[in-house]
Amino acid sequence: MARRAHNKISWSRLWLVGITLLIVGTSSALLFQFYATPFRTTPLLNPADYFENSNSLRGNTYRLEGVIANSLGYSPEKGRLYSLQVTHGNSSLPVPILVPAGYQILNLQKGQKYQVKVMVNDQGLLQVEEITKA
Amino acid sequence: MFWSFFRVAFAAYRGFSWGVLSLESVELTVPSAEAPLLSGITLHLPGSHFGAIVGPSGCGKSTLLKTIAGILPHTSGTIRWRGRNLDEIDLDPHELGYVPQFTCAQPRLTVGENLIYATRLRRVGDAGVIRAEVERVEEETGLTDLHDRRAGVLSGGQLRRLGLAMELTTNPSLLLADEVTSGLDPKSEEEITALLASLARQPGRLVLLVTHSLRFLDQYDSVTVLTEGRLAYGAHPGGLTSYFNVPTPEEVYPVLGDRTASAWAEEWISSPSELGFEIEAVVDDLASEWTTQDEPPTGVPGFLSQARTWFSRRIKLFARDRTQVFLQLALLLVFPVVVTLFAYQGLPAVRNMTMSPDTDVVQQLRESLAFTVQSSRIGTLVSGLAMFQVILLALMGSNNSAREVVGERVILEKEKLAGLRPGAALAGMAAFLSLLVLVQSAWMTLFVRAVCQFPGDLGGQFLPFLMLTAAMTTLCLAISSWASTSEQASLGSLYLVGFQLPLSGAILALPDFLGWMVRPVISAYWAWSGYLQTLKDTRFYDLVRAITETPLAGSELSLWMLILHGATGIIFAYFGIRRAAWR
Repeated sequence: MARRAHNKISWSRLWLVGITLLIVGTSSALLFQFYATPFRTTPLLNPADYFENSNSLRGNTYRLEGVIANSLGYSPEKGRLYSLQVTHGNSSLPVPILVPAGYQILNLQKGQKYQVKVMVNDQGLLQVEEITKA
Repeated sequence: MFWSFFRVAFAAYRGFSWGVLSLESVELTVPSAEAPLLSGITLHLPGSHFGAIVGPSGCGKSTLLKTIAGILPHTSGTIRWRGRNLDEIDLDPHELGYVPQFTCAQPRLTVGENLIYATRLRRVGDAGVIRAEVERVEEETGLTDLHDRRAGVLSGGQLRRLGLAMELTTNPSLLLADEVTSGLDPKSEEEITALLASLARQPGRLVLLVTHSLRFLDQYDSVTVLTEGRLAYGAHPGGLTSYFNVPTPEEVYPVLGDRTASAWAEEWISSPSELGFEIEAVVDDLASEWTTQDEPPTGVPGFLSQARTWFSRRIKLFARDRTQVFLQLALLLVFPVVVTLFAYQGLPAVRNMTMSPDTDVVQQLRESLAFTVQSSRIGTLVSGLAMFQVILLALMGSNNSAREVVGERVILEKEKLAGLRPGAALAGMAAFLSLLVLVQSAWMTLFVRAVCQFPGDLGGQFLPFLMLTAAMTTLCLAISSWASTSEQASLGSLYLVGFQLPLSGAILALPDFLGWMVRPVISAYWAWSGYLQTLKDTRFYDLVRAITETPLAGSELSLWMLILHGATGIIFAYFGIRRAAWR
């Protein structure tokens, strides 16, 4: 046994500690990333499917990510309709989303990127259920 | 007589040795030296004994003392203390007092405070017990009148007395003094030698003094002469001149050069007076040992007690160091002011683009161009202000701890030898540094937010800054604990801070693969991301996103990564403090 005053540190132990920290760090970061993804359990909407036959998707809930392009219209009763530029694969398509009148959200502005949970309503419109900045 | 014989025989049975301290053929070799630093050292020394280890410069005197203390590991041979092999059961912290060449006293503390803290780190007891113990050692070492004097203004002799007094707080049975009389005026040298001689009169105590001086031979019970790491003589000082056939002791050193070290060693081994002391002395010593060794150990204080003592001493040292206090205050007050100079009138308002699809193309292009210019200006400002705060806090963190361990390494090693737990020292340091970290990060957040009118959640902005400052402080503490010199630690910490800005991706986006590789270890990136996330509900966030290609991490992930960085620093600092780093 080494004398008390000559306490050497085992390099293998240090390596072990370093590797453990690396594993803990990487795995926890991946877990955080995974669980922090908004609406991760909701399926992603393919804009092409929507434009092909939006009525067939009625009642379904999807998630979208895109950039606010324009405000398309406003009705005090129904809410505001926005154009969201969505990139899917190699194509980029504007998709209309309806923010209901009673929905208390932040001020949507042109150029902002959002992640949106939408429900296809009775009229085949994408009605915002939840929205968060990307 | 029979009783005496029985005790000697029993002692011999227990340790196969004659002395309280026995060295059998001790050898010490190091890869960097061709010849062994110590070779074939065999010594048997009793208790209640004052021995001197002498020899010319470089002969291995201090090396031998450090080997006995366990600071240098002997490569072969056996060292026994009271019969037990020290390789198997080492000296208890309370058994050993080691007074090194350097001073272990804190110059900014008074004699009394130095002794009180030394005692509190080494002994269990309430304030009354500690005070009584301090008074005892002050009286024993003649320091009573100097109780309230700062150690920094003591003379060389008084400092050596203080060093001895700090060791005596545990009443050690083996007291090793390394060159404590060197560099002193003759009067002080005589006083210290006399003091050591009186300390050796305590039953069972062995005092060994390494000295170059042969002036006070009559004070010693034995003299051990070394030459080139070999034992040339080890007996009563009365026989020194006759053994070397010289008229005065001062002429011993020149004579040593007349023959090889091996020749001197061989002659000494074949000498009939090899024991170096009378057998009756051993008997008396063992008799005293018999009655003293069963005394209950005073015990080393618990982890929390040592950590508390370290913390309170650190606070006092900080408060007494005006330069350090001034520097910390200057950084604390000036850094946030420097940040706000860039936006002392508050953050500019953001103009949005028209949302109407009816706007003509020219108008749209014009608005888009204006928005791009605005994004570039305001986005850069907001991102820069966030990163500026981060870098300045990182700098403060590095300044907090870059010299915390390495600057006092010798004292730390000495305290560890005296029983201080490395974890307790780390806890004490961490508690002190936490105060600095808390004040620095809170003031930076509040001041910049108040002046620049940053929107967003205050707590959410404070947390990444707090964790960043803590992470940088602990990482620099780890650097400090592994560095050999203060310069090395400062440089390492400076590099750590210096690389934060370019590798964070806040100013220039890194290539994707490089970004993925370095971002996990760049604390500034996580603090910057975490801070900007608090602006997510504002237009400033959009503008920052518009100008930077570096992805921003979420708040929770950012905080978690900063906690990991801080934990990494603490863990490696612990190992760095725990390792032996005697110089």
